[in-house]
Amino acid sequence: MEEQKSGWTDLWLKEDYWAIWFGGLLTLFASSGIIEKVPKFGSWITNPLMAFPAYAFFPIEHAIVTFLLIIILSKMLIFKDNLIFALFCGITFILLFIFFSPLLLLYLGLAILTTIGMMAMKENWKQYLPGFTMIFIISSVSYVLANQSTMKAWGIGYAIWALGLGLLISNTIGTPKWLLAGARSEMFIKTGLVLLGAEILFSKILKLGGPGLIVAWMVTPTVIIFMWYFGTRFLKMTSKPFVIIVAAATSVCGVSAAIATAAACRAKKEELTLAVGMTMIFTVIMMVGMPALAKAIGLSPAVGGAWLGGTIDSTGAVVAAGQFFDMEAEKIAAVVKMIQNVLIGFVAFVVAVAWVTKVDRDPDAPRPSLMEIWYRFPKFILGFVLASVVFSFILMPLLGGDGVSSILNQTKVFRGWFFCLAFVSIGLESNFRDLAGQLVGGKPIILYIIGQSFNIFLTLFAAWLAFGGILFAEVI
Amino acid sequence: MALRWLKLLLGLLSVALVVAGLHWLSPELPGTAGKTFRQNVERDIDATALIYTEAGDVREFLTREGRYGIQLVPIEPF
Repeated sequence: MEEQKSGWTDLWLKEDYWAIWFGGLLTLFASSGIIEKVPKFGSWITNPLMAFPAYAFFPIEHAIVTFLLIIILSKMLIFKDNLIFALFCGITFILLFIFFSPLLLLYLGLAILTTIGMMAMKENWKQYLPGFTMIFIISSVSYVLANQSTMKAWGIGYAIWALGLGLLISNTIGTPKWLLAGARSEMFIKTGLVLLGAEILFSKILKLGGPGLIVAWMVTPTVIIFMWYFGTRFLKMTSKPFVIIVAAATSVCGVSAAIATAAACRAKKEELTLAVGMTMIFTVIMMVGMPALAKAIGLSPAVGGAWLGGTIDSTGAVVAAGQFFDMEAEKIAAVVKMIQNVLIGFVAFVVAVAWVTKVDRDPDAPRPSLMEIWYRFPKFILGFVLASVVFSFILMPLLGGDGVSSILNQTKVFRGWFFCLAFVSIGLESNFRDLAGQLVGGKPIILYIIGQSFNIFLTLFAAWLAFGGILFAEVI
Repeated sequence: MALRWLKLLLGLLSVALVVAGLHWLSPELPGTAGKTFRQNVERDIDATALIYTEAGDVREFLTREGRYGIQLVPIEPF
């Protein structure tokens, strides 16, 4: 194997480092107070315009009426006085800006930031910008759809809408070249993951108690190892990245773990798309079915809560299932899931190392040198870990829980946007034929169902041991 | 080309129909699925949250000392 070279220029020429710079800058802006509030879409029931951040200050009906009035008046006056026309146009612009300003500012900020990166990486930023603009608009539509009250209640989030809208465009009119130029899915995912690192706090995790740790941390690696061997040895699945993505998604925390693992092992876009799709469908099924099962078995609130928290993939669905089962169970379920969230970084790091040193290596090739390992290692993982360490061990003691929370309340919105942009990009770059190819033989679904079943049984056993009064005193 | 645009239009229409259909049918759903849905709407639970920070204001999940979930569950340190 030819040894690759790594140099200082990588710091401004490679995407992995730019993901760290983007994430670091946005975190710095949020920490220093330069960015005080990142706009978010709101919830809506029947009027999608209610989702827009500025709506509360300036209702759309008023904006439309004002806009029409200005157009009519300016048309009437244009022949008399151009200055007045210009004035009316100015007012129109200002009103529109007030209405869309939060979103526009967010767009401008992200566009400027990522374009600087594109320029530094010597990429064609003039082609990138129009594509990015359109992807931002599609991402906004995805967010609006995800914020509809029914979609929120069912757990149909922005990830599935973003993927769906991207796939819809690519499989109908085809993704035009100018749009593809803005689809920098890996750059968006890596940046989102660096920002996610800040949200993974583990400084105080040990003080939560042994029962939660047993359920969240002992079952998870066991399920990953089981699914790895089941997928690669028993099912003989050729795509190892796909097996590890599904294993991580099933055992850790669904979509976010799938994204982190896929980036760590450089999986194909179709593999991530399929894993995310399967995870989201089964999450909805489990959110409804698991509490009913827990009731049918007659589990105590503590054991049932730990079971739900350890098995259902996304946090939102865990909270919903927990509340449906028992109010006390919801608390246990949420805490177990939070402890499990902490494993995202660890799993991504281990997968990245395993891929560079073992899985992705030619077995006949000589052992790679440390420099070769460093060259091939996905550097943004270091940004992820660094963000987690800085927030857990430096900012938390300095600023306390309230201070860190106020920063995370801003960075988590940026992280969501980067993931959303990534999913739109992945959808635009994928097609149904490739996705169908991944499903041939039904092995992915068999892997998920068998793995999840194993997870359900093992977590039930661990929850009974830890929360059933066997190893520890009962907590509630 | 026109056919492709028509397909896109139909696709977008399907998206709107899925949202509208789910919105109008969900409250009437029987059984556990219906109960879960109604509970999530009544209690404003965002089931789309991927990780805990997305489930609400982060302050709700951390104490002043930065411990997870003390407000959620009174588990004593082991």
